[in-house]
Amino acid sequence: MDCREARRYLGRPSGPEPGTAHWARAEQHAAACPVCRAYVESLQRIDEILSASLCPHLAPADFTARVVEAVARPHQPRTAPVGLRPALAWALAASAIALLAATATQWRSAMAPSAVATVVAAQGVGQVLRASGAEAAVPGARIEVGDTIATQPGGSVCLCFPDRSCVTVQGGTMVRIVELPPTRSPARLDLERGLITGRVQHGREMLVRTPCATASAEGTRFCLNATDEQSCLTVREGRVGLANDHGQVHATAMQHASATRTAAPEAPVSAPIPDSGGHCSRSF
Amino acid sequence: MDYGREHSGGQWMGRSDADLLRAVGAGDVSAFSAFVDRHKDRVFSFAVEVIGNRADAEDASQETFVEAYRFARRFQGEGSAVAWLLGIAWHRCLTWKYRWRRHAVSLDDLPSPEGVVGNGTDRRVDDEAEATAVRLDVRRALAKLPPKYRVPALLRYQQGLSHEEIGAALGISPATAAQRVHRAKVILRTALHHLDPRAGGG
Repeated sequence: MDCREARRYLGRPSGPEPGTAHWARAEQHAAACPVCRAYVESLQRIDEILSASLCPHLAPADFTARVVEAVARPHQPRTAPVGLRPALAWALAASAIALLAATATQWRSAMAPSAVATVVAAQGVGQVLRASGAEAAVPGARIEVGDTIATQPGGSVCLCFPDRSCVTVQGGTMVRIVELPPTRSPARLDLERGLITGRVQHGREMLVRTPCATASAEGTRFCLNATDEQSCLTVREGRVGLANDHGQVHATAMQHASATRTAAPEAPVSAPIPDSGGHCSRSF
Repeated sequence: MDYGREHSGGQWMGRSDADLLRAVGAGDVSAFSAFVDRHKDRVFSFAVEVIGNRADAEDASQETFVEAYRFARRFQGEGSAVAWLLGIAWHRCLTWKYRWRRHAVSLDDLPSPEGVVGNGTDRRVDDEAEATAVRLDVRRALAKLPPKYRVPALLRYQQGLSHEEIGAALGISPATAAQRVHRAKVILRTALHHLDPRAGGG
């Protein structure tokens, strides 16, 4: 039995049917084949992830009362109006479909969802600043292009983008959302001051502009600390570029790089990085 | 998955679902109230994942229980009342989806705030944010599965039903239910490979 055939049976519950012998052979194969063993383990891991991730949603508090009230009401079956013949009903339905089809294009453009990020975690004081005013950055808050996230020292706000990339805005930080990526374009942020940590999905890009340089991260984990005088980049995974008018460098995992307004970014240097989610210190 | 939020229940506390449904079939509204209390979170959770938004899920869940009330006499007491109830819920959700064509899973249905807000260290916030991001990834990946695989996977992993119960709820054989759950897992293994370095893409 080869790997392809073995995978038809591996990880699938066996039963009393005649095919049971195939499972035994597939398991024998997996015992000797590390690739198939890893395949079975990854399916078990998916089992664990699914069981742990599908959290229950609580029904509203007055749900039972509403249902009981609904059954207490007399049942009124939905019936077609008297005299509405099937042929007429079909004609009306066809007209409605034609009307809908005629306006479908307009609807599609009107109904196109605008890209939003979502606050998925928050601690301490964080605010969303927008033209219409300020509101608290609490879990579930929707962040749109043009909004600015401002956190007070000790606070933090974690944002999740439509492409599943995440940014944690640490305390004492101000960052503006310039562009969000429902399309193929990269997410763009303006980090005016403070510290962010980012997790960018594979195949996606994030550009973060600071007063001294712009960082470009693609499918990686990094953190970026910005002041008016200096920008400091720390890379936990992958590769991140740091560029300004004077030059450009690329930092890879476990490296720091920094840039000032007046000079090209300095060559990256290796340095140990704390294990606690990749937080950079305020000064390197 | 724990759906054991026990409520008033009163005289019905500790009685089996079959007992409750027998009483409901005889027109006992207090039994029906206890039955709804016992299973409302379960049905609502399932509806939220199938329909994708809480408002419609509430309506579909309500219709599910109203239908369960009307047809309680049809429950023979053989098999799982939960499977029977979720079978009704699945049909009500289908009706809602076809009625409104709302297939997208909304970010409105993020886990409750108390589940992700931390007041400890930065690391805790990061860990919880990571866990929330994983939950979102899983829900998005599930939402992309065809209903044929998504619903058995939900019944298995969200509701904790056995293959026999999944088969009873969806009107398919246990073997077919097992096969669909497995197929869902294989598809999700690829979609969620970034959560498990061992998974790879293929």
